[in-house]
Amino acid sequence: MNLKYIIKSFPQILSYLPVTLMLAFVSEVFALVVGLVFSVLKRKRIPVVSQILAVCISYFRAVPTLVQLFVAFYAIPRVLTSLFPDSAVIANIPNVVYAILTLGLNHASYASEIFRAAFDSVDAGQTEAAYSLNMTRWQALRHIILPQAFVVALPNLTSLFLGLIQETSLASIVGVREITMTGIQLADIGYDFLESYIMLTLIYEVLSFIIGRAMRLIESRVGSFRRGGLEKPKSRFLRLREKQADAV
Amino acid sequence: MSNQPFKAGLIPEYVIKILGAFPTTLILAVAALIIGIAIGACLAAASFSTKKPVRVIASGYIHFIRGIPPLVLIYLLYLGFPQLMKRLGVDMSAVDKKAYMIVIFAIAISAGFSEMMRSSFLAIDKGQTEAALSIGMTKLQAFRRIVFPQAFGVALPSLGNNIIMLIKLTSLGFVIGIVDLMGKARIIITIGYRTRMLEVYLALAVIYWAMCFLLERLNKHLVRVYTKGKKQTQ
Repeated sequence: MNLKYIIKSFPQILSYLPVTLMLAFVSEVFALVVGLVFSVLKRKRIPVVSQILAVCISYFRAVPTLVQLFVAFYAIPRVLTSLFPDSAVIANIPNVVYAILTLGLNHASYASEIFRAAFDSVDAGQTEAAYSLNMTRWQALRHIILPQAFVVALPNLTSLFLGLIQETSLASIVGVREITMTGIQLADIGYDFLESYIMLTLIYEVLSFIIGRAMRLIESRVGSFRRGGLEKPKSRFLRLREKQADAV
Repeated sequence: MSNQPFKAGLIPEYVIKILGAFPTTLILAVAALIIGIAIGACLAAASFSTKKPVRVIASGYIHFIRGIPPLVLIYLLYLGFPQLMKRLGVDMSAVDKKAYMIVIFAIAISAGFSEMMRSSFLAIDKGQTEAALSIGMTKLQAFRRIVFPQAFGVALPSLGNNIIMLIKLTSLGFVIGIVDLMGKARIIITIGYRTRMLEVYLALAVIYWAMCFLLERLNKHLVRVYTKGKKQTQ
């Protein structure tokens, strides 16, 4: 192991961690909003819109993310230039924007499926009960349906988000300077592949571990109403008794 | 950046050209699928083991694979691991690139396959095994004749998803110079002096799209055929 290299380049790689995190969080927020819109539009079954939506979702689910990144990277500037032929801004749009758009829309189409399933899981009687209490549609959605659907959707959204963090590494191929690209470039200088990629692996593993844990905490908080309030931590004695009971 | 006007008419031509590399993608995917299923089955079996260390190792492996981006895994195993072996005195430069890539893909998908198998076996009622054992079947017979056919039906939908994910994953093979669909597309771009990038990538997207669409349809059909006449759980 080339310790000198590790000590020198680890801070350099870490200094681009905010870019990776920014990519992941901004795309995720974008994906959640668009995904929610997608799923609502899908439910409404508006003639032409829903067909276009189905094609879009199918594209984002069936084509590898990397190919989507390339397509967006070359297609969007062309479309923009043909719309605004004399704009100087288009050439200066940073690659990050295309990456966020692609990752966001990609995950929005997965999120829309998750939301759809979550909405379906809430019993129709809940909406009816809310209407019978003279709630408006929006009130029923906001106070009754969304909180319940959200709890159902959360575990799936967590794994979607963990996948998104990994997919941000693909942005390095289209020239977004984040931790993977930094690691690759630093490795290429002195052929320190092993050290560099172990560092990258470590950063990604720690990142997904922390976020996975945090999300599980949120899941148990948000889902607490389903079990009738927050669970008190069980004493060791009780746990032992349960274990023995299970064994029998 | 090229400023050539976009010509959609070129896309079919590029589709045919890129499809020349289809056999490579197919071999990569099928071989990785077989090895991945084998590793996944071992992991799933390990996670049901009565020995705690075995279970811990299996779950540690699965968590590790789930936490690492496939791209980084490819770099780590393809560029990093041979360096490690070299320092230990083993030369790995003779290993075939494609075979190596297949193993890396298999490792990348093994975690997902093991989770799929695990959850589908857990979905089968314990009473099925007990009943099979009570009529004198051996454990292996009970597994092969009673549990497996039922678990397979449960796993079929997610098997399709996992295979589609694997096919999309093979597009990363180009980073180490494998000429699969993606690699071929990039070669075509370079030969054409990088003037037709959008057309080539759109052609590539069309190919993947068609492939995954067909697979999804096939999978849906298989699920319908296989679960025909069975009680639906929902």
